[in-house]
Amino acid sequence: MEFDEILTLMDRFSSSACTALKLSWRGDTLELQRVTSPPMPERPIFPRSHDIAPLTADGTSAPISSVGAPATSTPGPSPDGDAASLITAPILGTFHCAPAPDADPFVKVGQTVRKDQTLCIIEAMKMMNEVTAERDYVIEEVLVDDGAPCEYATALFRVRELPSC
Amino acid sequence: MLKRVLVACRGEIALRIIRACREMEIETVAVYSTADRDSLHRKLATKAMCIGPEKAADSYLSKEALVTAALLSGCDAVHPGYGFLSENADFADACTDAGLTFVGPRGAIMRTMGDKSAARRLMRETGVPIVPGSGPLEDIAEAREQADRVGYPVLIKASAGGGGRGMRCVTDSESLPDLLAAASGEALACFGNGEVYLEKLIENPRHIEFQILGDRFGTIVHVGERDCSMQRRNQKLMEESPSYALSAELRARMGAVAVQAARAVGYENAGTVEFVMDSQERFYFIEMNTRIQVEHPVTEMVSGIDLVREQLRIAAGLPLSVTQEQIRIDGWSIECRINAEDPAHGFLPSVGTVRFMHLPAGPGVRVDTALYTGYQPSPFYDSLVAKVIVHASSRLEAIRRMRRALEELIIDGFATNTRIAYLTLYHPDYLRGTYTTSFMERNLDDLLAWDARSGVPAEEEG
Repeated sequence: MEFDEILTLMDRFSSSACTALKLSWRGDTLELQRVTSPPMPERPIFPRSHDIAPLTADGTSAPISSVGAPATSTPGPSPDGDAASLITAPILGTFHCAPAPDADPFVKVGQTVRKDQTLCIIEAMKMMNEVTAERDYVIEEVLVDDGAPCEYATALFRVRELPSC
Repeated sequence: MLKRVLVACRGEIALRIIRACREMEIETVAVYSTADRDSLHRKLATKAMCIGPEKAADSYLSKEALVTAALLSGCDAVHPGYGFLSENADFADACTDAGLTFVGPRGAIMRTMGDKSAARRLMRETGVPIVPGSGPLEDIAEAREQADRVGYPVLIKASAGGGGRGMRCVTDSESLPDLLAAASGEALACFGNGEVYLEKLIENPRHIEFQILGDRFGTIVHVGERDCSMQRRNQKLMEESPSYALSAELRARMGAVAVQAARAVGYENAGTVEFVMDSQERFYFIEMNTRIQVEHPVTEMVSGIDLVREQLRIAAGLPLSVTQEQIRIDGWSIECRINAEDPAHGFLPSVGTVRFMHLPAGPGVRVDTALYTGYQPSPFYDSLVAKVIVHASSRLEAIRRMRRALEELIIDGFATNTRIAYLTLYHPDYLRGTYTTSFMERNLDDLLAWDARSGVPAEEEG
């Protein structure tokens, strides 16, 4: 098949009503497919209201918690651009994924966590501050290395929310 | 020398510190709240860390967050700037306890100077003049005796007081009994303590402050004075150095007293001794500020001394880079504070995004600001958006240069007080240099009327 012929076929295809074309001719195979409408996003483009960090002007936005209080999940700019829920750091400090250096981590990828379950510890001024789940989640990704410093609002976990029962 | 400094503040003073550090090859770690993600100090520092939400109490005022940020980022020192925790003795101690060098005086010095009555007592013992006054008053006879001693008018103040409660101004001995009873009654009602004392009322004073530098070796110098009498509701608007109100002899005398005051607490690092001065050139200590001040640039301009650099050197344990004899005050410097507030509407804070800006430049002009085109100053913090500073050979030349600089200044996006500052530069009392802290109270309506008559809508110019 000549290049010009392919271009001609493509033009004909796009002006036709066909949605798919498969052609095998003299050993060459050409496959054309038309996407009729853009694929629906798996999740709504706009995060649901309770996922949004309430950045209000009265200064109360913040999912900051007093020591040991639960962190709020917020949608953050996740690397792949989807609107997955993120659990962010309520304070600045050192991220610990386990209660002790040799202990098992609080949570693992794929694990289902329940509301109020401890997810990690953030150490600040020699104080261990537990970050707990605000709802029921499945942990999809741990975003910070154990022992790494994390800033305020750093994304710690990517989670999928479970329907409340 | 210091290797890496945590800059524990925001806005133009954070930039000022970052710039000094950059020139000294010291790395900087900026801290910012979520409201300051787009702020310039975050971008200009070597590294930046988000320390908390927009509410200052959980970010810039969080000692834990700041010390943790300093330790996590490997800083060896913390510079508090002004505002926020800059005069917080506990924060200074927390830094020291964590092994960090605090760029400022020790917590103990801040505690002494921060306690008004303790500072007053110490100054009296040291022989530094304080506003004449009494101890707690027992009865009307004692009040009369004390009032006669210090001279009318006097202010009766509640010992437990503050904010003007339990305060009465007495102009003659006849009204003293009634006003004393009223003040004491109000003090009892407000603070549960009817104890009052009296103090001489300094009418229409000038606000004169001396810049102090002290190093770890006990050397203390002053770098001349700043006249900060141009105020509105106790907020400074324009400052100048030197002060037109001081003769060379008076300057030398006040400077010596300021050094004496600083020496009394064993002061270290940069600080400011504040005085009020009456029309008879009698001056009285009011307080000492234990930090770098907003208006420090006017001192830098006339002395040629980089005060922030000196602060960092002192903190690193180096001796002062100048002796008192080497300090020369050269020419005249004026600073205008540009605030995001609307004079036409009672100086209400004005918010908006900078659509366009043009900063003055040219000979003898300096602008300290954290603004840039497209930036929206955060409504969560101070309304100071820029400081325009000029330096010239004489006061009149400096005034002319400031007029020229303010004409060049354009900030398009929100209202500022620029035009009121500009018109002040034409006011006869300002030109004569005879203005006092009551200038704005007396003349603001005139200035606003001049502005209204100019016919230029407020939105169209800086």
